[in-house]
Amino acid sequence: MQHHRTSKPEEDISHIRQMMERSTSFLSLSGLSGISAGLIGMAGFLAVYYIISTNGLGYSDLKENPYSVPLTLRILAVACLTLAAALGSAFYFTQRKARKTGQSLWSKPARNALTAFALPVSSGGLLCLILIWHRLLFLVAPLTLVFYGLALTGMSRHTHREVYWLGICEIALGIFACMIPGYGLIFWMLGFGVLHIVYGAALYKKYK
Amino acid sequence: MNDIDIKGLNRDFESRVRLGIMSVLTVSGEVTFNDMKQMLDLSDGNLSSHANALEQNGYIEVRKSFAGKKPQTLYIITKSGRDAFSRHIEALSRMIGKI
Repeated sequence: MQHHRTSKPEEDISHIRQMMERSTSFLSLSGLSGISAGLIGMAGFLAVYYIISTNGLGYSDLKENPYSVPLTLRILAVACLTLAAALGSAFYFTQRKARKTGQSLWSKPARNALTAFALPVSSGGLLCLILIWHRLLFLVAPLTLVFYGLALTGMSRHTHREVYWLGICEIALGIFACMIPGYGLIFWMLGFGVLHIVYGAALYKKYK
Repeated sequence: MNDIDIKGLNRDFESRVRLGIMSVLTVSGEVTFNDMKQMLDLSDGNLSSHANALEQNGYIEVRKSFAGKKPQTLYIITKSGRDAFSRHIEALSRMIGKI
């Protein structure tokens, strides 16, 4: 092996920094998973909207007169189904991409990304269940957006940087929705449906 | 083994590929062959020849096992590898006056 010193120390250092950064990132997150999660989110919104309107109610009535218990449980069931389907589809597309690129789904970066995501989402989910328990329904939709956004910004250190900005948008949307509570469901549709589709399409185009 | 020049740079880490392998292992501790190949964007032969050289110098450990029927290679950084690489980074930093 010959030892020609061809590179400058500055270049070596920046190469090292870049490699260290890349080794902590999980890059198999697929754009398609964003698009599918967005479409499922839209379907969930339509289902909830249908249930509410066939009962002659609106999300804006929530602050004064919360929904009856059976209606609340039905909406909760639809929301949980939507969440499960969205996570399932995101997982499917991500593992498909991981297999294609040969990255392990159980690598350290992947585990880091998952834990960073799971903690805010599960604490937010728990808080929302407690809010439902206390019949403070009008805050639930906006707060799911805020906690989901926090989960994304936390996770973004371990994956594509674009995830950070998606998170910021979700947080902003959620906080805005808290201020005008009557429109929570609309914001929910914007955050989980429209934003996901836009973001997923952008990611897909960039990293296909 | 350790081939250190006047400035404190370790000649074993001179190639870009080896810098990459050591950087990734410094952060992650252990990485599979496939993950490493993808992160550094290398061919199979290129990665294994540089990894073998690092192994011979005692900087990393190469552990071969089977995941089901597929053979799997795992690279693990050793204590002396960690020390040698951090001294190399210090030397580089001194040269650009950042320490």
